[in-house]
Amino acid sequence: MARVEGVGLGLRAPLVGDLMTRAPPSLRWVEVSPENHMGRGGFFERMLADARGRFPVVTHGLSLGLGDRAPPDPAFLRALRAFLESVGTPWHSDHLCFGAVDGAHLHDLLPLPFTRESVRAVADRVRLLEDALGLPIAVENISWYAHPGDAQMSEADFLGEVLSRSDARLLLDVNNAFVNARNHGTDARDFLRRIPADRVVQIHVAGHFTGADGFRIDTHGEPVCAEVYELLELALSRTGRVPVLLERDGGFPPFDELAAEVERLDAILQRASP
Amino acid sequence: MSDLDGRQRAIARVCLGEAPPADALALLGGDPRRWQVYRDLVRTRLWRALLEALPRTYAAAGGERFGGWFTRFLDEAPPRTRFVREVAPAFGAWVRAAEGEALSRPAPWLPEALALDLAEHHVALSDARLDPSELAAFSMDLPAALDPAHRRVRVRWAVEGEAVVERPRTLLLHRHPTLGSVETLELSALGADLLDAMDDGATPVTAAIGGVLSRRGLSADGAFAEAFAGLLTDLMEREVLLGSFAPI
Repeated sequence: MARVEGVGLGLRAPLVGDLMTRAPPSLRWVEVSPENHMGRGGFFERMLADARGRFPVVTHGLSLGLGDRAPPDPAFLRALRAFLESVGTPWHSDHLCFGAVDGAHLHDLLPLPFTRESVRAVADRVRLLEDALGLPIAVENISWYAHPGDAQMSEADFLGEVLSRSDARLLLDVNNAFVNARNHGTDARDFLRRIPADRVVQIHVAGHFTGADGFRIDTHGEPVCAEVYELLELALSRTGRVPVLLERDGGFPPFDELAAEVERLDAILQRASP
Repeated sequence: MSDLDGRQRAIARVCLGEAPPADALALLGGDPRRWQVYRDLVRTRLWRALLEALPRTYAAAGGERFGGWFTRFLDEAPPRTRFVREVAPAFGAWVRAAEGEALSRPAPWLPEALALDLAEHHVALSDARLDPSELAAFSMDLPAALDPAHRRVRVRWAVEGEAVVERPRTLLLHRHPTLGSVETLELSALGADLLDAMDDGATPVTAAIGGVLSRRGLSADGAFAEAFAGLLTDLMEREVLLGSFAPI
């Protein structure tokens, strides 16, 4: 299993040509979503093989449904485990959300209520998934746009409770923390100060869309904003130097612009304590 | 039903229903515009996946009809797969079942537009492959081994300029050996019949050819042999013909 450190970039089809031929020196690893590659031949299969030949790979899931109510599909877990082993990821992350209801998959990151019932459900599932996959699970805080019903605790407390009741690590998404704070009138710095920093194994950084009414949507389709860079510095001051990933899923700029973002993230990361 | 179940089902109904149900919005509380954000995100992602996979179908059906299918599909039979790439085939199967014979009215080419889109989607994404240990060098005395990811589609209609004209033919869709893009080869009627006969994984090529020629009242003369050799060479270069199945 390759050591993962420094700055990474999400492996996306529009980026792969530049990634393979002129990646910036500070780009040290790539992140892959298994659901985009499992059971898929052709271009995606070749893209993954090329990337694995050049970079360590960390996996980031889209559909484990940490908050789903139905038991996980054993066949999918077996296939996922084989995939994770094949790419040698040190951990597998997925989102603190639900995505399927009564067998219907909604293909988005849907919000869990910040309740004790949710904490128990997610913690139980994380433990089950870690056993099934044979790897540590890292839970990512999501951008949420509405809270379903009444909350019994804050988001930071919810996250902390899930981590304390499970063996999960934390994939801290700094952009999501910022988006949530702006949308819900809270303080992202306070959120970052309250999360259990010793559980953070990876950080996500991304851009987001701001609507005419000021409401923000986590799109991964814009440049990283100045406030998120500042929050990254704060987060790293608490976590120490953990791998940082730049997420870019759309609105792809010229590769040199992405490379400049990678270099900027690396400069921030290098200033953090080891 | 637990409180958590109830809230998740309410969100699903808001996102997938023909319209966001008032009782679900009431249970969820908060600003309904924010639940509309989720509805838009879910539907936009799936809509884009369908448009990307089914461009001919969309063009043949028109936006209103296609949009109507999409609304009913999400409401009545939402995706049961975690893989976005599998949503288009599920949608296609639902459209066929829901429309039945009506799918070919008023545009008779709509069913084959859907078939062609789905075939192209399959060829682009399929990980079907033959076990290399089963393969041998190509021999006329052995069954042909064709790439299982390729598809042959018999179509009756062709788009020529602004018009759709009747021009029956068979299209062979396969992946480019190095680029991975989907390429299309138009087969002659005889070529399509030969490939059909050769693609059962059991009949030696010589016997498959003999059967087709016999049915068509043709003989394996020099011109046929030259044309057939050209077809085989082309299919090998395209990596559709991978060799022969080794004798067991």
